[in-house]
Amino acid sequence: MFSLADVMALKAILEIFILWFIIYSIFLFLKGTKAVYLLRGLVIIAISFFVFQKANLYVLSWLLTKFFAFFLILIAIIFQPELRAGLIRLGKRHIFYIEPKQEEIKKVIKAIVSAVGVMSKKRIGALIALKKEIGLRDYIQSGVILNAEITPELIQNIFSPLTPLHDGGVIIDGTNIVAAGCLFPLTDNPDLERALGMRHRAAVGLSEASDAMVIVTSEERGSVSLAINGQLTRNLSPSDLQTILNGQLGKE
Amino acid sequence: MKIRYLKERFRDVGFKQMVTYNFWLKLISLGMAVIIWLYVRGVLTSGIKV
Repeated sequence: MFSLADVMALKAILEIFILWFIIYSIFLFLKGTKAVYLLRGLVIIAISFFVFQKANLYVLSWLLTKFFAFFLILIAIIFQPELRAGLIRLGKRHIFYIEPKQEEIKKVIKAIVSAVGVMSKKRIGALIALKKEIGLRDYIQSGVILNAEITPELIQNIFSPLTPLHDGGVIIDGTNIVAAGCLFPLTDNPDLERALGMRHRAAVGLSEASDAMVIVTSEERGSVSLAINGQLTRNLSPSDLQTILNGQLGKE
Repeated sequence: MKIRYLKERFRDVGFKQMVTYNFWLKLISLGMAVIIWLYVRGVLTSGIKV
């Protein structure tokens, strides 16, 4: 029924598909982690090796081969936690993750703005990060995983004083609150006003370290600020915040 | 349970969106997969030749 050539072609397609799946999974795993820089290093080494071989530079090729083996051992030691987490996650990931729809995004923005408005009036401190392209896995793991649907009540509840999760930040990915009580990196920007507290510094710090947008409500003044790409915009009204978020997250 | 979830997911999402999401990452991965496969096959078959 099938000729040998057909079987060989099918096998080749299957092999390429499996290879693609493995490579794509590795890319997804590395996306948004520190290991991306490692991947860049590996690509540079691989290209150099290829060039040295083509140019018949045997000594350099030999040195690079030896260095590569040493480099692999270093990777295993330095990235041991990431490798372990990656192996655990293997098989859990949905390869076809899909962006939320526009209506869902608008619903999310409305819920966030509503919660921020209430917290601002009540002078409740809050720190909310909205994930965009760059993953925030390291920060998510520093907090408590929730994976809960966003509602204004839930956000207010998380930041209510005297509750266990009110210290630290909330991370929102798509339509879900992924984690709460997360630790964000503090900025060391000397231009930032000295009067600003840790919450604002953490917001700016995370927006510097990733492309996330971070909303802060001040405990002292009840003002709302938004950090994007290391820049802090202060004293926003709920409608300002809604307009900016719509512009940043919505595509219409 | 898992199959039902996947069926619902495929129905909600649609084939087009499934392909276009992370499109460049998928395309680069495919390119790399093809290059690696061709390279390894080349090495293996050259070893077999007499």
